Amino acid sequence: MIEVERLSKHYGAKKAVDDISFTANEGEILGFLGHNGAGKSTTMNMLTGYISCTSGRARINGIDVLEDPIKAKKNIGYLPEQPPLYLEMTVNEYLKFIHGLKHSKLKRDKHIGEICDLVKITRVRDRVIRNMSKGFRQRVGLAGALIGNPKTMILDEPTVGLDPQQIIEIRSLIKRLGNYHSVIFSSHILSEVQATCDRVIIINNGRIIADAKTNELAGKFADLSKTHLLIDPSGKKNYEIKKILSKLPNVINVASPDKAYAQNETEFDIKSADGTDNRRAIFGALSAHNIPILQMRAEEPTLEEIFIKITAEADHHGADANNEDDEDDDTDNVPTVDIDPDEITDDELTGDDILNNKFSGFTVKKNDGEYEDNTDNNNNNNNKEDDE
Amino acid sequence: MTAILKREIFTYFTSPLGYVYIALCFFVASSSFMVSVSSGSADLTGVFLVLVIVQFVFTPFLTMRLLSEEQKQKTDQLLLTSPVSLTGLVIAKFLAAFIVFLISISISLIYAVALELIPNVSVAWSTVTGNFLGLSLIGGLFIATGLFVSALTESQMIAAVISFFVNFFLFMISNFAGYAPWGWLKTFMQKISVYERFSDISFGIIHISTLLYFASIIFVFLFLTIQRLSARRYS
Repeated sequence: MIEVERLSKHYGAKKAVDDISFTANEGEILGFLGHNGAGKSTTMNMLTGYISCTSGRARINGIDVLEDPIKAKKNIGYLPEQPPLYLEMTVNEYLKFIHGLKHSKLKRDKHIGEICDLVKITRVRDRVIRNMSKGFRQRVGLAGALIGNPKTMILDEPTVGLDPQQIIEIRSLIKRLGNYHSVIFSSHILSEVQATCDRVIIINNGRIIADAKTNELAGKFADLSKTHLLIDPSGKKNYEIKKILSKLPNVINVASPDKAYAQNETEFDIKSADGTDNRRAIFGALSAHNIPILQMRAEEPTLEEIFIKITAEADHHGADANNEDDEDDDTDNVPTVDIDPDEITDDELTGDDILNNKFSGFTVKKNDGEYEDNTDNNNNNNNKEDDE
Repeated sequence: MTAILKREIFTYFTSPLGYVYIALCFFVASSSFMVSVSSGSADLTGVFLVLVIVQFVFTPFLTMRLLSEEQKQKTDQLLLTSPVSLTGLVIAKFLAAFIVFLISISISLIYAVALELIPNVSVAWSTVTGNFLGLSLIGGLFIATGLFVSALTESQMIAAVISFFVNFFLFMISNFAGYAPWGWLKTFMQKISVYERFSDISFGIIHISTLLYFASIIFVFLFLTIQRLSARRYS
């Protein structure tokens, strides 16, 4: 169980973590979601006692990290962003060292053997860590964090740099850990957190901007007005299908990606007016023309979109909604906001136009790497995928 | 703490560092021993003096990576988030280097025993004990300063070079005492100098004040190291 009360960390004037509070219960997997530099690692470093906090307090299983650090640390297994490995040691030597370091009372060889089986490093136990790949190093780091069977696991971006197979393994491992430990793990990938966590905390600029159950979050931000469609055109031309779909009420735009797809399979992205769910109508229209639907789903929101929505909401409530630090932001993540078909001009809007504030409605200012969003998006119109 | 101590000693001997360090000390002591024995002397003072002089060049190699490398490889994150106190951590690091140092100077004792085994040769054991103790204390002091310097930087090379200058300064400071503008500073520089203390010990004379001197300087630098590690958390 982790209790965090009004925790802050300031570096001079910069507030790396600004007054955050949350509780992670036993047996709960808590996802920390945010961009690089949002304050995830800083928070984790404070929880584990690696760095001090400017104000506030953190308790691990009821023990204050500052008041009784040694006792608190006994309950924590921490995997930092860069696994703290002694490269000159073999896996076995390293894990034995950690076993001693943590004063674990569990039977050493048996315990280490079990952990190695769990994270699947048994066959590389005698190898020197220096010669191991990133994926194995990550697992050795995780094994180290697991030694002593701590009640609380804190994992900082455990899947970064792993290949897809390893990511799936680590995720399922985290899920299993959630049965016996409380787990906090950070990520900047929304789908990863959704797939693994019971609860999500979204951090931006050192502040918690959302704290919700994972399924609620998905429901809250899923945008039913955006539908992704995969169909078998059954001999019909793209523009014919587009015509059929465009005629449906509330449909604002129908786009089909240019990329070549498998034979007899075409993708469409359909944007309806905000707040409308057109899926049934789309099914009706296509089935009337005998066009089989292979797949239809509401567009999943990206982390970027959730950020913008939340900050826009906060704006509405008069709170400060500055969005900084989005270095790896790209124009694809700028949300498509609905547009009235009558107002579509011949000029195609590019992502650059939006960024450079040429477009009058939805505004994203770019200023020294700082994004400010003045979204009042329901009234504004933007269409960047109009390829007709 | 035991885990860290064991790991540090293990590290000295999984890399060439420990072997090279000990081999160099053995080489220096042995050549000095050979010279003094071949001149018909059973006095080991020369051997100890050479060992003292080479220590302020050699101990920085022993201490340079102790804390700087942890910081660079981010393994300090493991140590500082483990249930180990900073004091335990620093003492373990100190002891590890000190043990390797003791191994390296142990050869002087082997030579003393070897001389004793020769008929008609008697070894001045009081001098040997005094010298050995003095050398150990000086080594401990150099390791404490080196450990502190290693906590200041991420770079092993910088740590080694700075430690060398700190050692040199502490050793030679009495030579510059003559330039001190005030009497009290002059006295201070003479008293704090390692060399002045060592010359007493090398005759086999051990004052309580000498022991206190070394113990307190070692304590001060270990304390500073702990403070430095603790302050880093607040930066």
